[in-house]
Amino acid sequence: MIKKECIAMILAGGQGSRLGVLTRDLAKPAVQYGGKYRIIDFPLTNCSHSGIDTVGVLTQYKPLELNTYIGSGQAWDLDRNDGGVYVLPPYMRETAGEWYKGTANAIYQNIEFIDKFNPEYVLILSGDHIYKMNYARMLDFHIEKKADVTIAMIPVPMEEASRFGILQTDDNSQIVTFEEKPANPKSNTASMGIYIFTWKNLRKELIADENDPASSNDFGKNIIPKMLGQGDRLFGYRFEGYWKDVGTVESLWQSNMDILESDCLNLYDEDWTILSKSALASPHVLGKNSKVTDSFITEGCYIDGTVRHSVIFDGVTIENGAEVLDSVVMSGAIIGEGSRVYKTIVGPGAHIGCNCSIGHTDEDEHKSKYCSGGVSLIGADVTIHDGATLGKNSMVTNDVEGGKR
Amino acid sequence: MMDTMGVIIACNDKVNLGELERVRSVSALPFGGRYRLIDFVLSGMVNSNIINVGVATDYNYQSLLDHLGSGKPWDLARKKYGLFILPPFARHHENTSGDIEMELLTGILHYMKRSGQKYVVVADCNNICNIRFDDIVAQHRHNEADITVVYQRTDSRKDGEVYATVDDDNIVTSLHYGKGNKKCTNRLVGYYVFTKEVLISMLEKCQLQGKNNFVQDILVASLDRRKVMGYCFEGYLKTITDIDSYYNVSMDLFDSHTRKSLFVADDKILTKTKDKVPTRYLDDADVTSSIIADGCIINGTVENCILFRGVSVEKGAVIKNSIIMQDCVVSEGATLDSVIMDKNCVIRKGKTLIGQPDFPIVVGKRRTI
Repeated sequence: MIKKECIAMILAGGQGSRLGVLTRDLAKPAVQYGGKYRIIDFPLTNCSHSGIDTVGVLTQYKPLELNTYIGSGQAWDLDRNDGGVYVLPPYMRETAGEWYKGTANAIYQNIEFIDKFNPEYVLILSGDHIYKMNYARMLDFHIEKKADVTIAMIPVPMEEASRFGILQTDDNSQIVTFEEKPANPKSNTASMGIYIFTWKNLRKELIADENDPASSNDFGKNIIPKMLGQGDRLFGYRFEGYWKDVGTVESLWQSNMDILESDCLNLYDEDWTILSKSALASPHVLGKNSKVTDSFITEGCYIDGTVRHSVIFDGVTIENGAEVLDSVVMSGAIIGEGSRVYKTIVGPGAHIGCNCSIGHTDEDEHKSKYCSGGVSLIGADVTIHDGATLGKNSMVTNDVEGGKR
Repeated sequence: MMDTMGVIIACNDKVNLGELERVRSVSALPFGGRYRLIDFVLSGMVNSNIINVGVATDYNYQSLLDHLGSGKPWDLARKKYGLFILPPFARHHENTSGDIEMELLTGILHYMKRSGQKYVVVADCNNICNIRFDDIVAQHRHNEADITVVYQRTDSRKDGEVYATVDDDNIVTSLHYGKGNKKCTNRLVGYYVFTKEVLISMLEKCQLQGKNNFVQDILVASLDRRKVMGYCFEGYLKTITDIDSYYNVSMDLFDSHTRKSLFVADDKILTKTKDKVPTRYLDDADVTSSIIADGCIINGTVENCILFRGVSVEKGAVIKNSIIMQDCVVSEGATLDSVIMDKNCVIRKGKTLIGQPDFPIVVGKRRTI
């Protein structure tokens, strides 16, 4: 193997349980986003455009769809002779095998993989963030500061700060405090969960961490605080631009709505095209009754109804008289004649019959703890029979009987 | 179908597409919002599990090369066989009476000999259809035919076409050109299955004797001596020969049955993908009865149109009955009706271009109006 300067490891094993039925059958990084993408496209695209040609994707929870999607990595130009994309599930060893216990343990279990490339630096990424970032600049910063660790950071709203790792830096960008999910945050500068480590230091820390029975083997909880405590050089790299952790149904919905705003995520940047595996469908067709405004629509769709302020994925059918508003309709879903859908994520392959009302009323039969902010969620391949009514904040995992009209 | 190879004749001297053909070979003509003509025949071969495909080109093949690349989108970037792009062996001489099929086929004799397959599908590139060649080869094999010609039944006869009379056993008894006054309307569509040995020996013989007319010296000459079968293709198949047929066949796509038979079938029409953003509809968009590819930004009125990738329709622009190719910009307040606009054109503010459905206006590549 040729020695690599920097390789990336994407943590893609999380279940994403707060996404409810969306992650029932697939890992969170494989969840669809933005009309034709999946969440994992963003870190993979960033790696590809940043010149990082060796990427390990650590999978664990329901990896089938994610593995199939990544395939050879060709969609991201990551099918390389020397390097490329590798899917890395946990595996059995001579004595025993174990699941990835935490983020740090997942990397620990793949020390051999990283050693094979003998990199100077390792970039640790999360598989569930939406953002465009040039990691090469962050690496330059890391090298310039002679850092042991560089953590990408971004300001977050103060009221959400306790969901993140919160850090403070001095004038030289050196990190002086770091607290993982603090009850009373000292600042609103959050860690984005993107780290560059100098590999030989991280390697040492991972082994030490593994031998500490009290550790929960997590970067934010264990590795970072320990390195900071022992006086290592930790630096904060300020990121400017759009970044969203799509951890909940509401934030996934919001993040999809964000691409309809001009000042959020620019998908049109020719130098930073978001790469993805295309669905290979024919161009979409708008029927004679269609009325589409302020929306994204992609290949393979047939739209004969009204669509406003929505994101429509490939192969969706929206029939005459149907009205879709402020919604996200994923691949292959069908919305029947006269149905009205508001503020809803419609899962892939879901079938909404005719004259249904989704997300309009306060009806609470299907109300779910996963859904908030009035956003409803319909699971993949679920059928909603004609005339059914689902209220705000509903989540549906099984077929729903029709209503009387 | 490991026993069958494909040869696509990627140019056609019977086609006249004027301005649209000036910049590219007919096989690379954009069609249907995101495709090129060659995608249809090439996908048909790939969907029939033909994994050795040669594309014989003549002139102007730059855009065809760009499109085909390594053959990856068609799964033809392979270690064994795959896609072979076969540039012209010798320049086409204007003063020879021969036709392009013969010249190109003779030029690729070596490639055909070297290939291990027993049958060869020879196909023109200018049909719009979703066809499976394995059914045709199966019939050819079953009947132990030497040549199988594919035809479709048509309503009337046209000049420049070849028609076949077949008997009850589907044996071709005669072939004739043009309008004539014959009753037979079985039009040859430009797809042929040959037993490879037969094609090679005929081509070599013709070469020696200086014969260079594909229909006359290969097909007609075989009728008495060899087993020439017909295969009737019943599905949707239209041939593009000029601007009118290009416009009309494009407009056929507004018919949902046509779309279903071409695109919704199990066999997909494969093409190069471009990672374009989904199409963005803005507040003033008013789009009906149209076919829209990815990457467009639409804020005007669009009716009965085909928009290719990356077209921008600004506020107040009105486009009707038109075909707008990749990356064109239709500025504020412009009006277009019955226009075919080639790639990268710009229509400036408030300009108007109006053709007629039976006489569409063609705007050449990279023009600004």
